[in-house]
Amino acid sequence: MDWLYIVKLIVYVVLVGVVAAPNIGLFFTWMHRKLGARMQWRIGPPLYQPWADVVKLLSKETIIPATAHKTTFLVAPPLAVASAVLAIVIMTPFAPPVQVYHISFTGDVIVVLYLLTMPAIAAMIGGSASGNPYASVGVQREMTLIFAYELPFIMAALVPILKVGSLRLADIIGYQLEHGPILFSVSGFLACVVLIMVMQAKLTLPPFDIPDAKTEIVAGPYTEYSGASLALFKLAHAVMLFAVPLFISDLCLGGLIVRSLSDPVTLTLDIVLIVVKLVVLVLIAAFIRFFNPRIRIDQAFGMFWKTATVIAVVALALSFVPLPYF
Amino acid sequence: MTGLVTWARLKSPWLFHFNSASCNNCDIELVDAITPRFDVERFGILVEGSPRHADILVVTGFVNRQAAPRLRRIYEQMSNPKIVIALGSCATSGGIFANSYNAAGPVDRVIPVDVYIPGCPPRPQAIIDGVVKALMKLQSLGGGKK
Repeated sequence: MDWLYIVKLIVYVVLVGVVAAPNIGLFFTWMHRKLGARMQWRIGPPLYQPWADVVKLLSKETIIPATAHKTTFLVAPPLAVASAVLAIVIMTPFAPPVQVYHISFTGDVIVVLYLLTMPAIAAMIGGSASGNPYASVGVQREMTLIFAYELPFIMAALVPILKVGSLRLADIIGYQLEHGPILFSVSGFLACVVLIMVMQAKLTLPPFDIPDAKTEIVAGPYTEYSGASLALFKLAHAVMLFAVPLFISDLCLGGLIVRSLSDPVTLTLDIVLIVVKLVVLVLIAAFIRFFNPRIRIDQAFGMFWKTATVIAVVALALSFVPLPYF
Repeated sequence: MTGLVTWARLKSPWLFHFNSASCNNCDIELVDAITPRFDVERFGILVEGSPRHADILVVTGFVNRQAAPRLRRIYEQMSNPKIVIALGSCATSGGIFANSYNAAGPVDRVIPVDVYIPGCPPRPQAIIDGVVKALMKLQSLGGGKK
């Protein structure tokens, strides 16, 4: 643990967490909105739209309702952003063998699983602290949704973990570098399907935008939020739009790896692959989002516990079959 | 810094729609104005569900005595800087309900109004034009608070 390592670590955390994560997340938000617009034969928002939204909200007055618990109400939005950003920082976009600023540690998959749940929990904390009846309905729905999707999510995440036999993301990525992506096996494919289903619920996009259904319960947990607090929640949503596809690509698609910095051909190929992996996952989320209506909370619950969990169990069982391509 | 803030405010006006005893004609036209045909998301305009999130309050209809305190409350719930648009003849002047027994007056007797869009109902083009005028008002406010 020398000084140079610490400086490198700080530079890495600032570059990935403060510069890259919010901007890439906001760019993906723009992609979603633009794609939705093009599907409706519209022109859609310009590229700067998500940035303008966030800057505008940051500049506005933040109102704390008289019924709210002030500290909890104000702590929830930074909590959401911080955990989403921290998840991205841990998920090491650059993995071995390059080991650029390599901060993976044993058990970081578990940490990331917790951190990816934190934005939803922060919304619940903030919503229930705001003292608004619509927010409380939204919190109930959010809680039910978390109960519904966490079980299949963790079971699907177990498939790559058991295949590799390690709780370290760097090991999982290294294994896939050697043996090919986990997606190209039966169990890995099923796990990936479940993870994509859960991704939609984690991002609270249609058909699982039940907690913040605009036409039913105003804005769900975010009803009382205004100004900078709301901007932070929007930012947390944007960062999650980067974090969850990143997690799935780390577990199933071989991770975002640059294998060599010296060889220009491999470097270009790897950068193209990184972009393709992320963009394909974000586009899948966008297509599911714009092709589906919102479903009821009990339907969502049934979908996760009756369909996704069964698929995850099958995937988990198949991952023990000692044959190639299982 | 104020330049950036002003730019962001001009590029991202979020609407909140309040129906205060309207006959629904203006509401239908407002919904018309946010359909893909007119594509107001090009200008960053979104319709929000909560007044806390919105920058522009669009009031349709003549305000009666029951709606007046609620309109005032909605206005107070919005965060600064905020703009109010009175949409339609009834909201701007009272229209055919001007001498009604339950009159609380047109919108500007209840809350301060920045932009008036006349018409019964106004066309979607007129509504978009009104929002642009509201943005000009927002620009003249600069980065400061109203």
